[in-house]
Amino acid sequence: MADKKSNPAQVEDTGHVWDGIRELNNPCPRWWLNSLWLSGIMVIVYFILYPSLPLVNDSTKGLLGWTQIKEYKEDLAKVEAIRAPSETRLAAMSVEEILADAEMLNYAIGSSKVLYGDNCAACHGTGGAPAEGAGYPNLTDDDWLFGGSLNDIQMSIANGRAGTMMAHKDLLTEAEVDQLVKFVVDSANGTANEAGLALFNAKGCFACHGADAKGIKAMGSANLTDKIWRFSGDEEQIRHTILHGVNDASDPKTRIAVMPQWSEKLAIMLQVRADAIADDEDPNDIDWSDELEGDEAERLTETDIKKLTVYVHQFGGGQ
Amino acid sequence: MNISQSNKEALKNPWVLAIILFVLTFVSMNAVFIYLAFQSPPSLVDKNFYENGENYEQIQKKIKQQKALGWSGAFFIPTKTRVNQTQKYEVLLQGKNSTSLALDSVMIKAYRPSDAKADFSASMTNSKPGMYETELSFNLPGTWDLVVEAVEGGKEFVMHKRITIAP
Repeated sequence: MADKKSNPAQVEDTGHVWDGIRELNNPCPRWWLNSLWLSGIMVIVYFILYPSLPLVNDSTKGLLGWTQIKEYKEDLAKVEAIRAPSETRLAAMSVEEILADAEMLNYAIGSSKVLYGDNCAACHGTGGAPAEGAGYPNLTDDDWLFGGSLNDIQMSIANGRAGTMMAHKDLLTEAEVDQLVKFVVDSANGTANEAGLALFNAKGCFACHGADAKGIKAMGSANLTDKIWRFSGDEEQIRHTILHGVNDASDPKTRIAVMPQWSEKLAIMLQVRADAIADDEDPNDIDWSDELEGDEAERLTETDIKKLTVYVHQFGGGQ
Repeated sequence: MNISQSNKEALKNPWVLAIILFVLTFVSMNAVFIYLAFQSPPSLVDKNFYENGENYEQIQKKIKQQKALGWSGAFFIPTKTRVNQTQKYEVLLQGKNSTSLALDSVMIKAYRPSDAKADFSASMTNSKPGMYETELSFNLPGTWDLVVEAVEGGKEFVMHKRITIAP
């Protein structure tokens, strides 16, 4: 057979001859023909089973009803099924219990990376340290304006924060501003003098920053005695903060310091629980139907916020 | 057999007719897709995309200018949104070292990557220092690109976020 094919004299032709060149009628190899037919059959089967032919506004659906989004949801369901035991366990635990449980802490930190990246990194930076000069709080230092305990961090995430400082441009003379800038810089260096402290007290700065200038957690005011700066330690920047304040709507040059509320529902629950404990009541006796109206905004779930709480806590050696 | 270009016998062959039909179908489908691509260009968020593509150098310069401004911002938006559900969308915009900006306008543009006809935009209003908000509703489920454009004088700051709307 092979000899016959390679010898044109022994092969039939189609009868077509061009300039003495005959068109031979060699059949295609059987394996090749079979592959061709099989490919054709596969295409037809595929067209029948899967979405294939584009129509004017849609496409054919296929007998299997397969779609990319359906496959994605099935895969997602498998992942969620694997995570479900840990998620259920986590939902029932407090943030303190998560921190004390090495396995759950590992799970919480591992699953927080995406949450943090999606919701927090835009301001606080991917590793908790924002870009220099951006003006967002650094989560990797050991300075916590509103407290660094697990409960404080959880409340900060749930309820959001917005520190305030009134603008002093119309309340202080230029000389007083100069003296207060010097006092703030000297306080950070541990060299503040009595005159500066006297002016600090006389102008009422102590009301927010505390008599010792170390800040007041309940107000989120900055500690002026360390070298960790909420905005900048540069003298001009300190002057700007004193003159224009923080979140003072009356001053167009005011500093911005806004952390959004991620769960109104959890914020209410945390506050109610804290109030109950402060009143020596059992938090388990709280009737949540009295406290919650059901339409509270929730950007993140309670479990997500718990995860982020322990994730942020381990950034800067939370208190 | 008469071998000639003028021989029309081949046109009676069903295989030849099938091949011609296939080529015609292929060409006409291409024509339809080219027409649809012009009518509803996917992933092209600017009507003047060709001219803007040509202005690549200018765009790069603009990006450098934006970085030099030192402005920053963040989206504070609902994490779970269903189609046709009206919700509040907020953004934080601030200057270098958290200083507030006297912005002339803040626009939020919603681009539907797969259907330019669904695109829409809205202006955002200043609710408190640094915060701008508006209410939005998306009429199609799936992926949307949000672009916020803040303008102050000749300075412009742009930020993006891709969101998914549940059915």
